[in-house]
Amino acid sequence: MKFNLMYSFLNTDLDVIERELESTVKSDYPLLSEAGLHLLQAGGKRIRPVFVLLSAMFGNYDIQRVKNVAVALELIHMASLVHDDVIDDAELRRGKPTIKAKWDNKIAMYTGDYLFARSLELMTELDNTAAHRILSKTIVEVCLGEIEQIKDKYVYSQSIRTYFKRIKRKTALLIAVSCQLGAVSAGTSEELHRKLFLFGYYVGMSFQITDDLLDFTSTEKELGKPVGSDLLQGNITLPVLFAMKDQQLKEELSAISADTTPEEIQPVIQKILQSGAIEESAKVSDHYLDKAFGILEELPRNKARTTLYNIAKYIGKRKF
Amino acid sequence: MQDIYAKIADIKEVLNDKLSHPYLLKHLSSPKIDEDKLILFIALFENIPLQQAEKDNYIITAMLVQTALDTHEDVTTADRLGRDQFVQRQLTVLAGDYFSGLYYALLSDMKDIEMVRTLATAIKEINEHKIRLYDYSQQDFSRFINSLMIIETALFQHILKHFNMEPFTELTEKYLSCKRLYMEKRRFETDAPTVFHVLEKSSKNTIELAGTFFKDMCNTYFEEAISLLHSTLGISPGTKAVLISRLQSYGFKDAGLYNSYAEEGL
Repeated sequence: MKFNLMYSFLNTDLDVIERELESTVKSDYPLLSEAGLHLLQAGGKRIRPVFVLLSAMFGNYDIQRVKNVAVALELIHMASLVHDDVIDDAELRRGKPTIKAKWDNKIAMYTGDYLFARSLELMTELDNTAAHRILSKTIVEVCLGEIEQIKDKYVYSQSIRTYFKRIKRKTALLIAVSCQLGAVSAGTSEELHRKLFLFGYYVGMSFQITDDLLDFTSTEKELGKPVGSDLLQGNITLPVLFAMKDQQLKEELSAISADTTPEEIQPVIQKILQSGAIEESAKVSDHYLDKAFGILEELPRNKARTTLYNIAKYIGKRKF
Repeated sequence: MQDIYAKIADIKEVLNDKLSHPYLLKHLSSPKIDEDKLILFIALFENIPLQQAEKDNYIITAMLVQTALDTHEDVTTADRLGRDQFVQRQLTVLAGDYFSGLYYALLSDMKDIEMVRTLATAIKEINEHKIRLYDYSQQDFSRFINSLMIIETALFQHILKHFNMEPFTELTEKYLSCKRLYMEKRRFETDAPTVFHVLEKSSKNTIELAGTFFKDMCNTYFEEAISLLHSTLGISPGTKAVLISRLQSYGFKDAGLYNSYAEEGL
């Protein structure tokens, strides 16, 4: 089943979110509106709003109330992407020029800061101090995770634990919080929104591990960037850590530095593919998915639960 | 006089503690704290009936926002960078984001969601005007100046409105605008990077007009800021003296401005 067909019953509400996103990124100043709309038109799966809406269905679902949380979380994600493109000096995202490439780093920084401020303005429509504590701590953690990612680049001695901590902060937390805040905004019990947080966390971990192994197994066309980009940029992911169990491969991997060319890493990528590291990483991803499914078993049966199950399954098994 | 210096030192210590991150400090210089804005915030909160700890938290929060904004100003646009410079740029982006997250976390701990909204609205406005300023080609000169003023003062204006402290609005506007114009003028004259370089996109006539305009504007704002510092009620004599002295020091090296006021016995 196609990803967006899994939640087609949400289409009317997702249209509300999309329209809200459009009006939120618009400004009185044309260049800023253009930059925001350029970012929106680049698309994206809108995974976070989908998780917010589905999680809200475990409580008193009201699209007018929950939409601000959904839009705010997507804007935080978008703002982080704009700044990430400055950090990575990226020219393309989803096949389209990045804001920093279309304009420059300054415009990208201001646009990202503007979007982040807009997201917080929207979040304040939710008068729930606990929700703000959850989100603000998450934002700080995400930033710390990104700083750690820079620190850990080309550090081949790092542990798997370090990797897990990093992807938790980098990806899993924002998905977890999307689920949790969706539930909080719909007035669910604390027990329920904590479970949804855990579900989102496990799915987020699986999502990032899958992303990391696709960096080796997918194609440049599907990825929208060259195969092995993470490795070339010094991001030590789970497949690399597993591949380094082989002493000879460890020596070859450890020789990769900021000066290594894309051509030079091709033989190493082939060896990683043959090392069993991909399969081992996939097992870890499956392990997180199983944990996510286990949490779903504890939630009330409804359409949202079935959809969350299907989405989690899709995310863990996706090919690109 | 001693009290205000002790207060500045206390707040800076807490602020530096919050802003310090071992890996960032290893690669970046310590975050720049805008002391003029810090002192102005201290002066404003002297007049707001809150517990001292609450006042300090608000000042620290506002300064975290200011430092985050200033940090992102340091993100470079150059294409070809050495490895160290590239890492510095990456960390500068993240440092600003991290400081922004801290202000939200601090206010969430204080359970003050209204203030989150107030500051977010100010940040939104500031960044919109930063883009306007950066994209000067589409504007006239008065809009350029207007954007510059908003960038400098929006944080204060929104906080003052939040606490119904409008009498301080004009003072902060004149003080901060005067300082910014002095700074930019000095950078322009010494060929250092300045927002005024965008004027080079304009005609020679505009640049000449702008030169005269800046000088007049600096003079006017300086005069008005000093006058307002004397007349605004509720600022302690020590704080007032520090603010006047700092403003005078910015103009000291510029075309006799300070001297003329000194002669008039200000």
